[in-house]
Amino acid sequence: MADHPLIHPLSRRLFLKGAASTSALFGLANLAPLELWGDVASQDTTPFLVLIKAPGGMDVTLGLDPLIRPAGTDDQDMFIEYTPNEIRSHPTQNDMRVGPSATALVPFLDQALIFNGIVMNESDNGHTANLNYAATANGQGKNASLAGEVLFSRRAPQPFGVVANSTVILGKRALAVTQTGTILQSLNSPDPSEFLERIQQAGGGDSPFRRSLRAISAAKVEAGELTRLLKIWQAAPVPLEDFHAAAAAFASGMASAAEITLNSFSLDTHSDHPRRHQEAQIRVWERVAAIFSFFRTIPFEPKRVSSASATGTSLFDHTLFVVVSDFSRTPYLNASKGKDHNPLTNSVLVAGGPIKRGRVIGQSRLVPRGDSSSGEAMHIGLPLDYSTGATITSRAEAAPASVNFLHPENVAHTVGALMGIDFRKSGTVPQTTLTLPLDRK
Amino acid sequence: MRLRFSPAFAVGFAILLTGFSFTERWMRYPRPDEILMIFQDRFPDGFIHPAMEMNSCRQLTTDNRSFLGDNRPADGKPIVAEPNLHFAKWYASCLADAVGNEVAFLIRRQSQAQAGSVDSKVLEWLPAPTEPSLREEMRDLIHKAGTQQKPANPAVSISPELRIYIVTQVVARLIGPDPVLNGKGPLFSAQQLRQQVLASVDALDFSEAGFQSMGFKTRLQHSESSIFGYLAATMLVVGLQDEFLMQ
Repeated sequence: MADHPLIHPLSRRLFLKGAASTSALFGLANLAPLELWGDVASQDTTPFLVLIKAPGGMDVTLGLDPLIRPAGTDDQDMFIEYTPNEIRSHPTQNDMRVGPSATALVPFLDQALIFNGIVMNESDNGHTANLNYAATANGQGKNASLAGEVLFSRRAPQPFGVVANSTVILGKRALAVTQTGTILQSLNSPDPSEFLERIQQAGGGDSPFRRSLRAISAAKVEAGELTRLLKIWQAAPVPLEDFHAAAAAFASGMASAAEITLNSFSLDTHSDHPRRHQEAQIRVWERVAAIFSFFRTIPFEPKRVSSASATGTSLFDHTLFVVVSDFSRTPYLNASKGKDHNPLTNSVLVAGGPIKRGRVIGQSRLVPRGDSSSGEAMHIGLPLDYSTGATITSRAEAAPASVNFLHPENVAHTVGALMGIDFRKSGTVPQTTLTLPLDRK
Repeated sequence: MRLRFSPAFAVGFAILLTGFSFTERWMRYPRPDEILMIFQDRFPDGFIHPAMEMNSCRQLTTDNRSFLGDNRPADGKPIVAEPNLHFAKWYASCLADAVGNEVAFLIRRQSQAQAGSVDSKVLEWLPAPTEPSLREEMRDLIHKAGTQQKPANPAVSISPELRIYIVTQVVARLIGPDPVLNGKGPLFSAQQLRQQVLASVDALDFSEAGFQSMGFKTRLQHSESSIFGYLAATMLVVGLQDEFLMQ
């Protein structure tokens, strides 16, 4: 077999060597404490989670990972449609910067983590696989999306399960899903709760359907609060949308995890990128900012809503948002003036909830076409030293034990820790997933 | 094409229903369109309203598929372990629509019948009791419903004996006669089920808000004053029995 012309005679040895060093790296990584980068306020309650998916693949240079083209490169290495002075930063935290498509996020950057340089795959395996990987932190089809995994890890019954406006990846988890449309429609359709309660109260044995009828009775207070909130918001000039349903479900106690897919934006700009993508991405981030803003307007104290002991926190302060897309886009324009899929780097925004100071984690860089073995420029994520948080920019810095690339499972692990959940125990991320250090206040 | 009852169809339909899984017993709830088929099967002279509002009950959409215990393609197991509260609400609403359409059809038939007569289709749904006083009471109530003569107090307008008769008829029609019911296991009795249905329908108080909140008030314009309201309430309660759902 070793004589086969397509198999390198040392491939098995190289494989074993690589496997051994990888195992050592993972083993040492497990000794690291479960900590995170970014300041985290102590939480006496577990926050809610909203996973926001923006399908299509966002050019991160226009949003979360703004770049200034290096000297000595040109448009054929990286096409950037903005000048450095169009990059915006938070007024008090200058290191929190975003490109011109994400200026709507600026007011929230002091309460956000931006993960840059996330490596999805070495090669492009399509939108669905990458978005699912970003949403589940696991490409094996076993896990639910992060929203589902949060619900699964808590093991606390939630009347609505995961609130979502699209199909939710559930993997092998047996979880209920309630569509936001159903919640909003319930305002305008007859509510059979009272009718069903009477049937339930009239007696009968124990059965799955009887248990669901009892669930209606048990959730009567929460359901009433949900309806009350939605009716208040319905009176506003802005029509009710998916995130209103999620917010009402959280505030009323009907759910603790939601998933919102932003489907109506055309981010997959394989042609005419300069004219179309920036505008589309602006609308994505404006939408995200609108969701954040709305959550900030809702006073919320866990279990103590409107009580005298309220400390003035909002629902935004008790909700962790995770915004993901499939991948970034190639740095240069193709023949159709478009940008294609680039799984070598990606960015994720984590905001709200327990994050009390903004921080950028990870970094990407441009490999000009002259330095690329393929002859085409590449925009790639850089490895991290997980013990220090520093980005590794040269091979000489690479220490084997704590250096690795940033992958979706590392981001998910961070999210889990922010939620007070160790995703390694539930199998959401591998036991060997590297952890990130945390600067606690 | 109108579905007609036949033993072969019943066996085939039972296989169809039990071939999928939902609970620990690996049974599942029939889809609402299957419920409509059951109604068409058991009440073949009825009229399934093709109105727009039934569409949400007939189709699996992203809005309702998670209520139904969808099976995972990978292993065929149900996606949710038990029906959630939204399932119960949505299911009851769909069933209420189906029942409302069926009974509204009967009311229209009776309204169009000659004065003083009882439409023959109505009698197919509610066969006349053999006991003379019950037979007379039922004819009188059906006639009043057709002529819109509303009794002053509809809640007590139907005697306990006639209520039991209606419950017995609907249970036998939708779930099965006594030998079938008593064959469901040593802990199950037909008499117990009828008492349970009777208690639920009476607790429902079909003339009051609990019943009207289901949208019946609009659909069954005369239901609060007629025997048809009680019939509809009974069909709805029986339709929500596990013995019906999980056959």
